[in-house]
Amino acid sequence: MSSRIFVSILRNATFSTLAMVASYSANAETWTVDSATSKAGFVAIGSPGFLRISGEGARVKGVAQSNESDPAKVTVKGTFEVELASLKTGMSLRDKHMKEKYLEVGKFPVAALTIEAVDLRAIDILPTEQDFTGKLTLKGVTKQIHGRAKLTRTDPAVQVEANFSINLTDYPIDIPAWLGITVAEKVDVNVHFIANSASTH
Amino acid sequence: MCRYVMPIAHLAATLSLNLVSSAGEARPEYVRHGYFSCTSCHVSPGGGGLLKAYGRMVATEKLSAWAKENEDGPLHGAFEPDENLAVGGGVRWIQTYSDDAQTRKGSFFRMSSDIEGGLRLGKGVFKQARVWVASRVGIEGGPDKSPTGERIKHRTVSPTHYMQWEPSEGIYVRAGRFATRFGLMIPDHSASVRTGTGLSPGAETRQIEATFTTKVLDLTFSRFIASRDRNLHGLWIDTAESRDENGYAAHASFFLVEKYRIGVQALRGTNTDMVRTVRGIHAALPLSSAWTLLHETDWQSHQSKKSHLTWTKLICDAFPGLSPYTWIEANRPDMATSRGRRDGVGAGIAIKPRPHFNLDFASGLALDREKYTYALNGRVIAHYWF
Repeated sequence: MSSRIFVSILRNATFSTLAMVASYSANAETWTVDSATSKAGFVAIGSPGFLRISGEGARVKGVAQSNESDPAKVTVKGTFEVELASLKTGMSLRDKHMKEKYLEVGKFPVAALTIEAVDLRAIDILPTEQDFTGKLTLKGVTKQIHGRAKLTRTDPAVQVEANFSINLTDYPIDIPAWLGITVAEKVDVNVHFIANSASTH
Repeated sequence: MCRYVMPIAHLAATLSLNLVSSAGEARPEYVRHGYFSCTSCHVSPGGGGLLKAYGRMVATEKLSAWAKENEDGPLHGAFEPDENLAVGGGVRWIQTYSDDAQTRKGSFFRMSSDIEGGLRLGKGVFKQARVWVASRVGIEGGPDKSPTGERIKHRTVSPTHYMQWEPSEGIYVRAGRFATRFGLMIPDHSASVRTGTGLSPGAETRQIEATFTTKVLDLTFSRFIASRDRNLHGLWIDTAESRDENGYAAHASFFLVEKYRIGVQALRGTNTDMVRTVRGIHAALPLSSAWTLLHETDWQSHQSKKSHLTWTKLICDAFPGLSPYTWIEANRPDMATSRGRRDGVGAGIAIKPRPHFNLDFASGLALDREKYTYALNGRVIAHYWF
């Protein structure tokens, strides 16, 4: 191949790459959680009897921003808040103990989840799964968490179903125990929401 | 049009004789709330019977229309619940009604009255293992007179007493006298799967039992031994009197997709003059947040006969304290012929206005397919539990 043709190809490739980068930078996106349709909950196991305790009904709110500095992938970073006061487990007395004694929602009304990086380019109209890392702040203590998320692009929105586990003892939460029933240390958390995008220039 | 008639004696026998059970009821439909294993609420791994302190709270929360905090406790919350102490028992009365081609009759009598208690001996005695000691003592219930006019003496009996060892999470071993775990363990004495197998409440016998429970599996093995100190007066039709029976039983339930309970059960029993085997399936299927379907079917072989029993109940728990239900059942003592075949269908409602008070109204149609007769029947049960 002649050097002139080679330089031409290289120039075109560079120009195309720069154009792509420019176009991504021009279309940076902000994703806002639709709180009305969001929900967060947990599953804990009680003893004896391997009692399955499901908490649900907590609302999620938050914003995520995409980062297009790398043309190979578009990463999203965001902070989400889960309102703990609306959690319900199906038994009013258990809910009361959970919120007043163990979670102290009066002092700590929300749990904050910060996601480090989710690759937006990988998301398609069919659900895709990817691992994620983040930080969960619960009762004033922040710990790193690792989870798995299923994401589906439904333009202009993205549907997110995220799951991760925490150990209660990592946070200032006593192991719930009452009338002979104790809850296992490990709790599985699930978060579902739809995030709508608004492009920014 | 043919009319179906059920003999009054059979109806009375089906409903009432020698009933002592007024213990907490087994509620397999609570799988809907995440209660796959019964041991969260009951001392017995099979459910029913003595309620733990937590179980009382659940009964109040889920079953009663109105309740004050701790009202579920013994003596209406007079003292604080203790996780190491279980107290139960109560009194039940029933008003029956039956209407067939020959007669129309009602009867009112005390079904049962008993007290039961259990104590958990903890770490100080048995290190990490937990040991429960439980007992129930009561006065036999039933009409004061038999259908032939003879006076019935109501004895003081202890149908249930056992020691239960829990060496670790999910393992229970108990020995004593109690009901054999088989199928759904529903409290309804008259359900075909209970009367037809001879395993209804009131059929407690001496045995040793081992249960292994995980998040998704509940497995029980039993060895039961004849208890010849009581006689059930031929309560069941063409089945062995379980009180005189020695044998083995196995019961397995699976918790599927964290929602449904499906299981199998088997029993082999030897009586003085025959051997029988019973095999069956059972299921507790939440259909929605309020509706649950319960089902049990058993096939029984004894002597040269094969019999078939099936029972299905649909329960609605849309409102705390108010549970309408409907059922359909069939009892075929001899599958080769229609001899003794009886079908039943009915509906009812359970009302639990406050802790400790239960009312149950039910009405049904009993069809005798052998004699082509039918009878309308009904009952009202009033229950006060301690």
